[in-house]
Amino acid sequence: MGAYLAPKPSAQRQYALLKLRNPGGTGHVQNGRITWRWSVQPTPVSRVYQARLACDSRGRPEIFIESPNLGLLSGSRRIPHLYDQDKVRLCLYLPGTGEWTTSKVLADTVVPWTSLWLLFFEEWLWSDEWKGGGIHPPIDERKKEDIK
Amino acid sequence: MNARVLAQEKKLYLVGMLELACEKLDITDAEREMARSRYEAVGEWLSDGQNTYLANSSIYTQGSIRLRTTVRPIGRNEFDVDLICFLPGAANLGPHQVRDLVGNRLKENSTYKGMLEPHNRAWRLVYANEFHMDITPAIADPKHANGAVLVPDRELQDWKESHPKGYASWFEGITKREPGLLLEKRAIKADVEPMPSEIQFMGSLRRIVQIMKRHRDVWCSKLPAAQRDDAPISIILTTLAARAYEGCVHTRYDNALDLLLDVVDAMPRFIEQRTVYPAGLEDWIQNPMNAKENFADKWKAHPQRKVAFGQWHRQFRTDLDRLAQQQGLDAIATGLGGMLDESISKSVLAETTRRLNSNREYGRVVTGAGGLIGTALAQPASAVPKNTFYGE
Repeated sequence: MGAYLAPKPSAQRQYALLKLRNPGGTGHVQNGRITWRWSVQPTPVSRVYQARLACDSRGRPEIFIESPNLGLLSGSRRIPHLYDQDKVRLCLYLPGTGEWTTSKVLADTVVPWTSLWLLFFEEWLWSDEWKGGGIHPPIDERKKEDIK
Repeated sequence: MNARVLAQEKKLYLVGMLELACEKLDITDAEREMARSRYEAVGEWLSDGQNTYLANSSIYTQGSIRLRTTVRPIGRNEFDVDLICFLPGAANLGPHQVRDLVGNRLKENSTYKGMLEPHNRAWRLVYANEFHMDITPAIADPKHANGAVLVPDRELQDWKESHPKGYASWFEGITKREPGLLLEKRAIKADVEPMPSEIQFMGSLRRIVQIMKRHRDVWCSKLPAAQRDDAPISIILTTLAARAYEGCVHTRYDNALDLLLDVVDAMPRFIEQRTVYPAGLEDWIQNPMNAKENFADKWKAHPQRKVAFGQWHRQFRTDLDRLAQQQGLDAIATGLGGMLDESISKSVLAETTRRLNSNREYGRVVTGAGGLIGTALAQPASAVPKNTFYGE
């Protein structure tokens, strides 16, 4: 698999690519950790969302939506495909499948997946159905994720 | 907010959604074919009998099914299919005789007999869950040799002039004159085309008429029952829209939403105020095929119909402005649902995500500036890789 042979991009390289692909965003790299904030409007009729990417020194990304408040938009409903309803951390890929590995470029993977997630979120707000596909983990795996 | 000030990308996206809505509202090709086979069978039955007047009769479509401006009705499954049963040799018969001739022949067929309903000008055959086929008998109009007909009118107890073929070719002629629109829209600079912006109005005038008629139906369904007869009739909406559209064909548009707005805004200008002796001022919406026919002739006896036209017109324009200012696919769907019914916005969103997922499947989805999702207009940079939304 090419993915495993590809060299792991450094935090600096990941950051440079984020800036290149999303010139409107802002962020920094510190001790190998990346913080990146950018605006997302998944369709021309969509809201403009502020997203934040936090990548730890081992290259593992977490993506959050900072505004608008998705909880307020969804009322009392539980938002699908979130690791955390309060922190609004998005589930964007299936772990262990190679969809995401630390050798992949953040700007080409989790960043566009965030756009997709938000489009399906807006659709879900109206239809109450998640049309983006995906997998919900079994309960015990959910716990593991919380522990991690 | 006025819908005119919207950004171009947003207008194109909304038009794409309206086109999806119209595809849902329209009669499908299969339904159209089924209607054709049904009315051809009726035509055969009518001409197969012993009656010499009926032997030479022919059946053809009129109204929205002929204009291709049909919209799926609200609250029932049956499309209206309006037909003329033309009796070429019956010019010497009276309106009652012609009407009865067709009605009696239909009643001779045990199937048709059970489906038959008398209406003012037509005999209606109700095909449950399919169609309301309104068959209007007609004879040649001796005063006009250009295909005009006379149809029996039960309330008037007389003949009524009509020219369905002429009206349809007038409408068709205007429809064909598309403004400088569709070729221009690709000139937008973006490299990513959001779905469904790639589909724009197919036959702009027909789509505009369909949207207006559907909005009228939804608007009308919310009126108190006693006021529903006052809602503007389709021939008035269609004629005013076509006249207004005709005035737009020399303008260049970079999106069909601006064209729609121009047509809506111009429509009232084509209601003429004519001085008629001795009645005084009268509202006129002239039949383009018959200078003596006023489509708004009922407004004199029912002035509330003129008021209702104005109310509908303002509401339609206001609803378009409101739709334009919504942010979020969900808010747009709510706005669209209020205008065209929730069942329509539901299928518009479903089709939007279906197209997106199909493009995802084939690796054709890209993101552009601001995280915009779409398909690549030119050489794709790098497609969004496949992912599986995980988590609860």
